[in-house]
Amino acid sequence: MFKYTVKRALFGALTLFILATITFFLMKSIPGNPFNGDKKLSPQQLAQLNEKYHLDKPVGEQYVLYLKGLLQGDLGISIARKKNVGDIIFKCAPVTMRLGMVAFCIAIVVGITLGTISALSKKKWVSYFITFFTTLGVSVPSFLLALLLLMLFGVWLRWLPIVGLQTPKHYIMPATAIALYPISMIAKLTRSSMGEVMKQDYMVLAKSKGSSSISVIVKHGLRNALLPVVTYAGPMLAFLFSGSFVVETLFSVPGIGSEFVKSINGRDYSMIMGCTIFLGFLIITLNIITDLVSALVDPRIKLGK
Amino acid sequence: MDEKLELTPDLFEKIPESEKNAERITFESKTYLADVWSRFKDNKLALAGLIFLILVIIFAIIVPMVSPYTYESQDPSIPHALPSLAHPFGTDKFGRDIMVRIAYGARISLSVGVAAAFINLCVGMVYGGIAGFCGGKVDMVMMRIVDVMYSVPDTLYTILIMVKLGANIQSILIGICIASWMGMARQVRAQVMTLKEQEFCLAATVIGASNARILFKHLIINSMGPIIVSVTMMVPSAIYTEAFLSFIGIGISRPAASWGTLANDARALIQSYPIEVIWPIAAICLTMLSLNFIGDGLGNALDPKKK
Amino acid sequence: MSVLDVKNLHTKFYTEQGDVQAVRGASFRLEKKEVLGIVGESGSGKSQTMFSVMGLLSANGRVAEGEIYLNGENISPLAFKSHRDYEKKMESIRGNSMAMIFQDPMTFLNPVLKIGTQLMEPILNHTNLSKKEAKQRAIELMEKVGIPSPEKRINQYPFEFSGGMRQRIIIAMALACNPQVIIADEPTTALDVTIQAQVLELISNLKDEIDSSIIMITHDLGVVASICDRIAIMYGGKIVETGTDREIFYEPKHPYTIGLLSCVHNPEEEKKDLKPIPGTPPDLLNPPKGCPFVDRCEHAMRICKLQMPEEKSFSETHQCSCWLNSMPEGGASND
Repeated sequence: MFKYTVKRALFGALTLFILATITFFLMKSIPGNPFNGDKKLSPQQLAQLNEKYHLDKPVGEQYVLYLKGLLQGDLGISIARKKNVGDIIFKCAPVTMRLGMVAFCIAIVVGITLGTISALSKKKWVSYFITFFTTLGVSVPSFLLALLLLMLFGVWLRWLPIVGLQTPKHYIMPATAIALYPISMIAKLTRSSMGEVMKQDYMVLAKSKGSSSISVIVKHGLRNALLPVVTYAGPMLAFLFSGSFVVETLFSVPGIGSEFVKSINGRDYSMIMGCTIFLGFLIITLNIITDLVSALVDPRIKLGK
Repeated sequence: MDEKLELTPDLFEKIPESEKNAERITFESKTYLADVWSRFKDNKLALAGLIFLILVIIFAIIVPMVSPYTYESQDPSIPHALPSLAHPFGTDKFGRDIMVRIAYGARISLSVGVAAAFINLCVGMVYGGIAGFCGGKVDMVMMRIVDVMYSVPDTLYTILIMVKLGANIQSILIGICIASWMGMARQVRAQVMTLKEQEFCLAATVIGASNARILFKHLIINSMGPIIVSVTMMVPSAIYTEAFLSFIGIGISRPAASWGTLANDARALIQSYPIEVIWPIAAICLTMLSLNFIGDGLGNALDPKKK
Repeated sequence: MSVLDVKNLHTKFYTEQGDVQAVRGASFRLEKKEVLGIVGESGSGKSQTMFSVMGLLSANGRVAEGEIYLNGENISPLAFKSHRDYEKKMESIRGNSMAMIFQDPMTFLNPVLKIGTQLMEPILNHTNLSKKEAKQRAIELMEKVGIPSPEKRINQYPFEFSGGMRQRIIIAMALACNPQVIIADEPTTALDVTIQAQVLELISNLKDEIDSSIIMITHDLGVVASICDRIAIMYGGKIVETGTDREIFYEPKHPYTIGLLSCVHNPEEEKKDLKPIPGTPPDLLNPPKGCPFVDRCEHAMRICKLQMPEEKSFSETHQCSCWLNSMPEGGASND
């Protein structure tokens, strides 16, 4: 287990390094200097700024300096905002994560419930309806759903607040918009794996021991059926964190997503780099955690290999 | 069984072998493709999706051809007009006809979807094919590279590439493909591996040339099944990515408009002109929905065991 | 009184192609401390008969007709007002007075639960023992079925056990509450030949120890010969012949029984070739009106196609349903 964790962590670090490299050279290859557009600057000031941000040095050296900074947790300085990128991210990340966790919980609970109902229901229309709903859920992009919700409940009916995340009520629309896709994916996964598990021999044996149908389903069925869901949970959290880009912008939530979109539109390269690397780090870490958790849930997965 | 026969000696005569039917076939079997089609047809949602998609394609082709307006022709006298006979979907803030713009958007979105899926298929086929056929060390190195690429979220790649290459269709295609070819490569490799195994069985059973040809055909079709399904599924996901990029303002540049751009343009109008927001949203959602139904239906039809 | 008495059992499966009549009027009795073998090829309905008795049919299966008496009490689903009542009754019976040993030890154990958890389940379901006592009982059971160092192995998962060991666990589960009736559904089919003998020996030893009756379902006459007191031969959803082991092996009456016996390799008559029975079992979607074996029978007569023969007794224990045994005087059969 320990060996496997170390191995996965090293692999994750390598991935992150590659991501950082790609990001760095992509951003550096875009012609132009961030200060060139600023006409108020005198040539001396420009040279000073260039020196301060190491922009006068060859790209190779800048790359080494950047990596060194990364190792110390220094993501550089946002030129547009005149602030440390790391500071901005640390201020925004908790907001995004809180929203993401709310959506995550909604997705897990609703998704598993829907999937189980759909797999076990004897009435045809129930599973038909849930299939329709889940396909709808994977078809409607989160940002469009957010827009629709905003229009319906925010502007027309005026039931829900549309700006920020101050009260629990504020969470309803953005969390729903982000969670719909994972709800549907989890429901689909649970449905198919539950259907598969219900056909397994060990379910018959469990029943032959005199256990009630419900206890057979909960104790023997769900545990097996949820294995694929656990495997999906990590990528899903990653999706929730990065997929909330536009939704955050639409609801004016001061999270990483809206910062990222802002920096993309403003071509704030060091901010783009910082956000990319931070999100990459988050996602890679989550994937490692997912693998470890699924190994704990399923005793058959041997990590020693 | 209920009423009893009278037992006469002639009833006890032996039946000749020819009257027995010990070896009979109970079910008729259909050809593979006919079978797939009949299963697909039974799935009403998938069929509805297919019909809707065909209508969208016809709409996208015909409307710009017959409409008196082009996607950029402005008419300042009628900004934000409500739907009317002249402009069935209304007009936007420059008085441009929304129906024509939606139809143009359909052309862009659908072509991006199909092109991305096609390019992905090609790249995945070549890469996964080479890895699968070579096997051994080559396979291991190639797949490790895929693993590394795969663990970085594709949205990030696409955004970076878009920022670098600028907003146009080519860079969207390049961005989507660089970000999502790995899944296809993995799948193709897996299929090639199983095919390779099956060929050993083929050689072992030593069958006639014509049979071998038929078997080979079936094997290829069978192993193509999952790949076809994931290519189908790639179309909506590419449409999604394009809409997403355009929505955050780094996709298709104006005045050309994809559905994502249209939605982005209209987003400021949810208070004043909500109808203008509805059109692009409906276009994206319904098209994605029908593509997903088609994909699901195809998946079930190609692999009846999986439900 | 018989421990288990099944009368005229019919079981159907509703499929897209139509109703499959898997069991079509099976009747048999199981006496106290007896081992009854039910023999037939795959698709003969022998397993489905037992699943009907245990109430473990898959979702599309139904008992359509018949009575099932356990100690004189009718436990056929048709005897209950609602499915809920039936399930409630069966929950108290399954694993308690009636238990089942299954065919494939590789697939019948839950892969993600510890052996101990699975073994304690029937004990906790049917006794008032605490978790700790149940665990103790589980360890005893594992010892009884011959699993070395049970204290350690009780915390392991099924994938850490060999096939033979898993089958022993399944047997231990069935024995957990000292059931009166144990139904063993081809318990040795999925095992290596060397392990098969061990498992059979284990079952027959244990049965003496706990005074239960056993129904042994198998397609292997060798298994039957080694441990069964009485044998029922099943074909096409019907029981075509029953008798003691001697009667079946030395005086078989039904052509199918005779055919089965000639498929068994007998080392004493080395020269004699094995004689396979030609053809395949009948299609139970459209079962034949007469004897199900007619299409494969070398003695088939016109009447066999038209009407099912009645059961005829040859001794108190030996019954057979075949027209050959009820031929009128001067029958026309010419073989």
